[in-house]
Amino acid sequence: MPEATLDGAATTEDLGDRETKGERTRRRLIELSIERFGERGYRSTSVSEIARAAGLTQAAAYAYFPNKEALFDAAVDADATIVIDEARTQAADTPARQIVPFLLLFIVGSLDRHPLLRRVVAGQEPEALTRLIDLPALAQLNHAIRDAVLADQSAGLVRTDVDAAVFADGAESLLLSLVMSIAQIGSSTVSRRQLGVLTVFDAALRPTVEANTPTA
Amino acid sequence: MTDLATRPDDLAETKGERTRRRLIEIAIERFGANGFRSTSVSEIARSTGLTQAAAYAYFTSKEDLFHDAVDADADALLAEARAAVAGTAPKDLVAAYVVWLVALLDRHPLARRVLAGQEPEVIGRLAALPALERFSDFLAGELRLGQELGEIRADIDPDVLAPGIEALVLGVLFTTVQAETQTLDPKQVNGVLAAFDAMLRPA
Repeated sequence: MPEATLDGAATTEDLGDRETKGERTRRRLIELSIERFGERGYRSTSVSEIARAAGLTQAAAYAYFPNKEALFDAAVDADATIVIDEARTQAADTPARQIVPFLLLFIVGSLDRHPLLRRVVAGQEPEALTRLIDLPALAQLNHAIRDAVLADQSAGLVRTDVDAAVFADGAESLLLSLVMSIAQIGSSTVSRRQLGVLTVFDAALRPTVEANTPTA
Repeated sequence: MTDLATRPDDLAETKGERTRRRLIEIAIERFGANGFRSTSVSEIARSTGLTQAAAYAYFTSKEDLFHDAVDADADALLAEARAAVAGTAPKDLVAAYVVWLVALLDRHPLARRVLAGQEPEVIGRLAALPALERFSDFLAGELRLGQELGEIRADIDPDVLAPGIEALVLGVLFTTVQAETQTLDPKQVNGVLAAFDAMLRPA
């Protein structure tokens, strides 16, 4: 039996880098939930089968998560966070004018390896969709876009009459919208749209008097 | 698509064309109300006064009929939105389109079903919907006009930009219908408007 039956979630924060047994069990439960919910969705997956796969009884699993919804939410958060954080890290050196299309390609390309996130953005888990919009990782991604715009504005590569923070809000919404529509209609088949999206975000940020006179 | 529908050069609608149009109208209604899977070709045929076999002279499959019904419904929706935004300044056109498309969607249950993700089996075929391509062409024309008026930056290629805007508008519609948030987050809305504005605004 895991010792964290007292209050697994609350105590884990304070224990430094070393993972306690309770934390390890919790992490294992989330990993298995990502896998199982990703394969068959919320409705067709039971807490008891996830518990069993983790070597726990159903009752023991409920010491970590009060109900199936909480377990599912934690799994979606974890799966989406992995993809979004990875995208943000990979985009670190991408010029601001290409960052949104880059993120789009990266995230869409990750969906095959993240079936649970795919289910959510494909609209198969409608309740989880609003959760996704409020995910802290997405706010971090928003700030990364803003910072990239600010940096390239100073470098003269991005028009200065655009408010970086407001643009980042819009880019975040549009990014999510595009991921959803592509996950659903697979518009990768329509290449004219791909070039169009690349151009749209470039046009939004490109200085209007394009540097015929490159900055020294 | 069928021989009958693309027949002569008469301006008057032939009987075949009329039947085909009627089939599509009823298909829009039935598919819109009950979805792809729960609607049969025979019930659509019957409402048109045809046998199922006769209906198949106009369409090769149920998927085919569904595709054309969605295309026609999308065309109607886009035409209504186009009428609603007429007279809007070119630089505000995209935002106006999004607002009107969302508002008009309730009158187009079939288009709404597809955007709501309720037709996952057949949605893949809709990526290259002719209605969307026509919308893109129309947008490109509007962008070009805006450039001539000096309201839209001159250093963009309307033919390349338009399909990108089309993809964004489509994406926004998907999220709006599916997120089903009663109120849109004003921060997100402002951001999207600013992004579209930045794409088109001259210096």
